[in-house]
Amino acid sequence: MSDFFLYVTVVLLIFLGVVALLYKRNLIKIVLAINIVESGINLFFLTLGYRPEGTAPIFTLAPALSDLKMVLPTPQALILTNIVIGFATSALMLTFAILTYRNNRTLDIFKLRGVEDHE
Amino acid sequence: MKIASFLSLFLIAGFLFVGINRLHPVGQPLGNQNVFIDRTGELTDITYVDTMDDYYLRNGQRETGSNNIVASVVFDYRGFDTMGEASVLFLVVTSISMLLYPSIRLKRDTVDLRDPRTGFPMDMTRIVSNGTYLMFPLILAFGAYLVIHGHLSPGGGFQGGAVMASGTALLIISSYITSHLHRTYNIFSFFESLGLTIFIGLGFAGIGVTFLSNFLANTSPAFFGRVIDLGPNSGYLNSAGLLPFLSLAIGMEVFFGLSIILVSMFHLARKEKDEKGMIK
Amino acid sequence: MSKHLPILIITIPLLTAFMMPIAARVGIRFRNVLMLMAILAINIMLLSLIPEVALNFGTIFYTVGAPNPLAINPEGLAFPIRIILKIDGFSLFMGLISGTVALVAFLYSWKFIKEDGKKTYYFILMLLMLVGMIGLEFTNDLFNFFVFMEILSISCAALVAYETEEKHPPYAGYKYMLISAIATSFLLLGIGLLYAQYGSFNMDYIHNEMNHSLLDKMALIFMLIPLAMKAGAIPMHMWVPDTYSEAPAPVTAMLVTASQASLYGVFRLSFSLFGNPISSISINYNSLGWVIIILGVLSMFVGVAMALVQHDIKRLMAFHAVSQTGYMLLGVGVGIAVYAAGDKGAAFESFGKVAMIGGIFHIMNHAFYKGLLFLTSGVIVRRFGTRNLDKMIGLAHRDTFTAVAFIIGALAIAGIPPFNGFASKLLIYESVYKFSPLLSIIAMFVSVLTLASFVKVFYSAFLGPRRDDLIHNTEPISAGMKIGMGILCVLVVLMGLFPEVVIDVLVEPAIAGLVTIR
Repeated sequence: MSDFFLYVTVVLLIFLGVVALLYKRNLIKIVLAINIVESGINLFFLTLGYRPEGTAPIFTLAPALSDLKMVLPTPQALILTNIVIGFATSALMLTFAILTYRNNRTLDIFKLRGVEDHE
Repeated sequence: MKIASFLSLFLIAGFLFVGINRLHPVGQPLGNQNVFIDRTGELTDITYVDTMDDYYLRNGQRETGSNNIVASVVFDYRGFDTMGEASVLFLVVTSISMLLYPSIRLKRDTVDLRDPRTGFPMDMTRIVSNGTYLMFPLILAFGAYLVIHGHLSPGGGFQGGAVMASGTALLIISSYITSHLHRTYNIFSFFESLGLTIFIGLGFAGIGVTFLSNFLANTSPAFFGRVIDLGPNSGYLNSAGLLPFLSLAIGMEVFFGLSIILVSMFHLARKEKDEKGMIK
Repeated sequence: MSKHLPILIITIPLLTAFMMPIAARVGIRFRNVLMLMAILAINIMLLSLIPEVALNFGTIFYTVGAPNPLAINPEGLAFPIRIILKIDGFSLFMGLISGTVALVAFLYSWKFIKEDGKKTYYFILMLLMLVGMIGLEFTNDLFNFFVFMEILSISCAALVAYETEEKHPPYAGYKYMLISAIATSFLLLGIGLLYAQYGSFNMDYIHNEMNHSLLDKMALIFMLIPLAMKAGAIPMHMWVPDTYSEAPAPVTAMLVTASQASLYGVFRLSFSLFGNPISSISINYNSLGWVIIILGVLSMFVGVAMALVQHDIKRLMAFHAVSQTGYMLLGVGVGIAVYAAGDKGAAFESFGKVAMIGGIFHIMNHAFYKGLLFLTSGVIVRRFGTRNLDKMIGLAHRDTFTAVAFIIGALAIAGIPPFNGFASKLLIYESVYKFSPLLSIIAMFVSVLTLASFVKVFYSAFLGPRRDDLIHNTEPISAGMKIGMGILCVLVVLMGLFPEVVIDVLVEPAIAGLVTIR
């Protein structure tokens, strides 16, 4: 079980993020919930590439070659991309929230609910 | 409805839990533990290579010439994803400029009185103005260091560009940037497009081979193509071929792009003042 | 140069999009012409791929960054280490649809979108949306698929909220971005599960190494459900009416192709990634097929039922988009369900393949006639200043061209000969009848209801006395709008008159690219 501790954390993070997504009414809190889900996914990828006693996959001033163990480099590249994409998503959603507040004077999804059946 | 969604969430979480137990345990990913045994120094050395990551670890330093394997994965082996990611950043900057266009581009530039000695507004204290003068160049220098040494130490275009953009945030918080949005915006937008065009241009430069091929690696030390010895070394700046240039282009794009987003959101919240300094 | 075509199709529009702000500084006409040339270049390059990929049933590979474009595996290795682009029949099919609808939408928005300072950004986003769609359809790498899907989602969400001064478009954009963010996060989770098991992101390599364990089935579910959510299938269709109705009309036409790009993802994953029904260890294709069939039938029925009661013209058409997606899912679902029926493919050869041909042909038909309908609705909404059907009357007196285009689109969506909807729907009816008569009867019933709702729209908006006091906007339709709608009308009619040509040239290679992997 202790082997899977990190995976359990990932599942918990995603679960909490989706619960917050479903049950929060404020538009900005929903953006934060999406950030939590993205953090969980990033942690998942990080965990996939881990080796115990492994250093970063960089050769500058690294330990000697005989006892060199490195973590996997590919998940780190993915996480880089995912962080940038998560930032882009949050920035865009916050802009939408700003514009919605400007036009409707509320950030509550229940009050905004009636917008579909106007006219 | 709430109970149903909560129950289904529990089901999905339980499902995920059961499946994750069948993943490999933490710390034993696929691939060879001792992937550095008996390296021969050829360009493509496939002994002891079981998976894609083993190949990167064993041959990445020799083939791309960079010490930082993550940077070589990001810019060389999977450079197409990096281009997509840079496009996402450009896309988001364009979207925010478009969405906030009526709110900010149509505002007038304000006239605010600045202290001629410090360049800050009149009511700003000396701690803030002097602190900003000290911190901003240091932040830019640190960010530029991260960008340029992307192929030697942890860093690269994205990380360095984000650090540099935090310098812009400092300028906004300390009220150095309060007005003249149009000039700022045009300059930043030009350099951002320039950065991304340089990236794709460098990709096209190697089109004789394929797109985004690292044609400068392992050529001559004058063009960043120094051949480096295998194994741990102390790092040489003029290695890694195309990677420092790609890193520079990305760093430029990220810095100016993030700055545009910050400045746009700031100007959205700025209240307009007329000539007398009264809030309209 | 032709071996570099896959990468040129993706990067040349990217380069154009990055240089568009500078081009706008030079002049408005220069920017418009530059964009027109970029989209025409994409379409010409896509058409030039037809002889090799479609007529010869070939596949084009391109390795990005390798010493030569066809060096998929380095010497001696069994797995690829770089990003591979792969164009087969199905990719080219979807690429042609995206390119054509983008050209039409661009011509329409030449004069339709008002020339305030935002229009340059509008064109940049439209070009990036096209790049995202084509990149998604051309890539053979799972993470690259994810990145291009993000490009597509973000540009769609920003374009939906184009009219920032109205009350509802930004909120619709928010909802679309929310759905996309959750969908792509779970897609990434599925990709991570596959990476953990096989150590690679390449679709072909994972297909060859797949051993269909519980984790693989979990990864399949985590990848298919978000893609179906983005394609607008039941029960995740809630975002479709809100988003399609608040976006400007040409953007909605491109949103249809964006949803179909996600549908491409569903089919590509079910067939090319998880498909190997010849071997004994595999997922149960019959149950996967039935799941897709159930989703399709529900989409058809719920879509058209909700559309009948709508008063808002664009929401009505959006619900019909959901319903027509059901037809595509039904056709391909029947194909999947009989794919591995255990009788060595006899059932598949007799009617499963025809069902798949119908389903995939319907993708192209739907993009064209639904795009045409949304473009005409743009004219209608701009004339009357409202989307409410109760406030519209008598437009046929003023805009005869729009009325004729609307009739063509409405008859095509209802499946009336000689328009293209009839060809694909007939294929679906016939083959699904052999599979299960009840499903076919439901499909025909849904067609009747579709025709009924469009008769209602035509009656409300076009027929009746001429009432100039209700018209808000009297400027005539520009040439670009007429050319755009005209291109789609001509395509709808031609494809209805000569469906065999399209099927032999485009759809059969698409099926070959999906089904006969080994």
